[in-house]
Amino acid sequence: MLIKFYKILKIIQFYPIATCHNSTLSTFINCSYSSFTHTMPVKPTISRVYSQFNTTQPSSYYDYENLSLQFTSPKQYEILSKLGRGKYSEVFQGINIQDHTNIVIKVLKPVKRKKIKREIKILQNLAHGPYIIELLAIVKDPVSRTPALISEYVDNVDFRTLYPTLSDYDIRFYMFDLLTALDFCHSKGIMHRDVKPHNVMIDPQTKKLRLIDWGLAEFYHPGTEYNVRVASRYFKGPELLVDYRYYDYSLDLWSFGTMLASIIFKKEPFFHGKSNTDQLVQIVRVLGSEEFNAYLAHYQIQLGSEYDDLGTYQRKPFQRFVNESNQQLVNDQVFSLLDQLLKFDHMTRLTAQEAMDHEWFDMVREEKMVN
Amino acid sequence: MAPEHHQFAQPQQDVDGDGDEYISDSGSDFNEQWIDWFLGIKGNEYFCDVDVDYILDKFNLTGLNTEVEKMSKVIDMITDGLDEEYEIGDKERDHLEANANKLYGLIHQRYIITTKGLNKMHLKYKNADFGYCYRVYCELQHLLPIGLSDHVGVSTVKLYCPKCEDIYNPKSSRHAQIDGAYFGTTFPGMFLQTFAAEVMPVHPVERYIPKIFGFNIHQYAKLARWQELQRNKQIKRLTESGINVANVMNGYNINPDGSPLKPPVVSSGSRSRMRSSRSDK
Repeated sequence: MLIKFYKILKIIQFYPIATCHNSTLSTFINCSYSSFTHTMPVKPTISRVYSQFNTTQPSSYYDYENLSLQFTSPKQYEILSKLGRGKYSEVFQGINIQDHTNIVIKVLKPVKRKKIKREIKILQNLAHGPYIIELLAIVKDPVSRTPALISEYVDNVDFRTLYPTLSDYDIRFYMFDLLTALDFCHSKGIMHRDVKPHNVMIDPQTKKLRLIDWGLAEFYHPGTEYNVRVASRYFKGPELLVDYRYYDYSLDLWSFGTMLASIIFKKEPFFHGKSNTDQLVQIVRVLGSEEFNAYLAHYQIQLGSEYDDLGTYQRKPFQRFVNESNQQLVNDQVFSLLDQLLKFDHMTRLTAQEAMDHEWFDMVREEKMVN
Repeated sequence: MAPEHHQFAQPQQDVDGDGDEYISDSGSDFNEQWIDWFLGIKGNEYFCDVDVDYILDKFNLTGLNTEVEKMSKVIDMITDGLDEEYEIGDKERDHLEANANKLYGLIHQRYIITTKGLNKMHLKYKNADFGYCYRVYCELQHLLPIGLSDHVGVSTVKLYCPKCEDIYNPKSSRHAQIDGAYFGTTFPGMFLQTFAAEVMPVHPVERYIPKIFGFNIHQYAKLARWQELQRNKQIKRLTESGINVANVMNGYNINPDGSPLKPPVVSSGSRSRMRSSRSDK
């Protein structure tokens, strides 16, 4: 028994991104952990929306580990220039020399085959979805054997350049598209888990928006504990920072909220933590200790010792972030929207659909309906 | 200059084998060995031995007196004419020595394009005395020495590859210091014309295109495709006018349809790996 437990711990240690769908296994670890520290277990939650989507699907929909990959040759794609690099990939702008269309080549660094399969399966499940980047092909070079994803190209303008130039209307326009993408993927049982400006490609010329980089995305299975080492620091939801593992699609709405706040207030990033620990401090400094403590108590969350000197903070109203440079972008409606997105308690956060129904989007929603 | 003096002295010791370091009793022994000694110096492997008869024929030296000082003494030194009674100081010996090297080199430039010289260089070429082309697709093609100028002091010797038709710097620094004029600008061209049937290579058409993670870089691949298209057009034109360039001397290493005759050197490894990876599954 002891050996088995050690093995399981080891598995978890070496597969930090992998999550377990096996609830027996999760419960087992959870119980062991609790009995060791003599604390109450946290209260599990289940997403308010789309919680049963994967349950209603055949296992081939979410069982990405058994996906067999059909790679094609990289011959017809050629590299034009380097676009950037991520933790898990090198990204190039490329060209399809058969039809001379621009494409993006994402060469995956050596990672677990499982992770590659997850990203591909998710992109296939979301194919042709609104504002979702389209996967065109998966290729592998026979010599280096490095897999690469070929996707559509967006003539993106870097967000640091673009966002300060956006009008109030533009912001509502693009943020509505982003919510549409999020609502779509959530409705397909998938959470993105890495929503941030870097992963939202916008071509202002054609007003085209695409949500990209599904490398951290995961299928939502109700009652599952997920790895909290996802998303990028400034966009990490409180659930990740307090190690609450029963999170769901609502994580993406927090990240969306921080993105929206940074654009509206022209403060990039909105919560500027110097470390993961400091990230939570920055959040509590704005939303206040009172609400934070109520959240911890409600889910019986025990904070780690790194938060021992967290301090006590009064809630800082959003009005206080208004200054000369951003005053033309702010109004009561956007404060109300932000207020309902930036909630510690993921169960009370707006869902993507609810956010789209918010009055702040009234003016763009009508136009979108017409198109 | 001192090291040269020692180089000069050592072979005498070897030749005489009597332990006498500097003075040889036999003047003829000394003189007969100068060329052999010169050819034996490390770094002089590119030179062939020039017949003494050729050096002694004044006709062959026309014009060289402007390049070399104390011409007659230097010729004597190279060919066994130096009077053994002649008093020679270290300084003068160094001076003569330098001029002897230069004269030998310039005579060499003329000699290696004579029938005899070409034959001697042909042997050296077959032995790969001038080294191999570094270009992967030239597949260890033997090289030929070449000068970029026929005048001393302009540039050092380079190496010509008849397959890729380009010139290269010698690998060894010893060779890289040799004056290119000692081989001249004419030699490789003359050499290939003379031994055409035997040495004129078939040019490889494979070429390297930079890749990143297996993807061609468009900028290079595009140009390469265009150039290949032009080559194929040219081959078609030549073939249509009755000139066969497929896999013939000085032609291209291709099939009659224009496709490369051999699989590219670089991807031959990948093919076998592809096969093994398939069998893994």
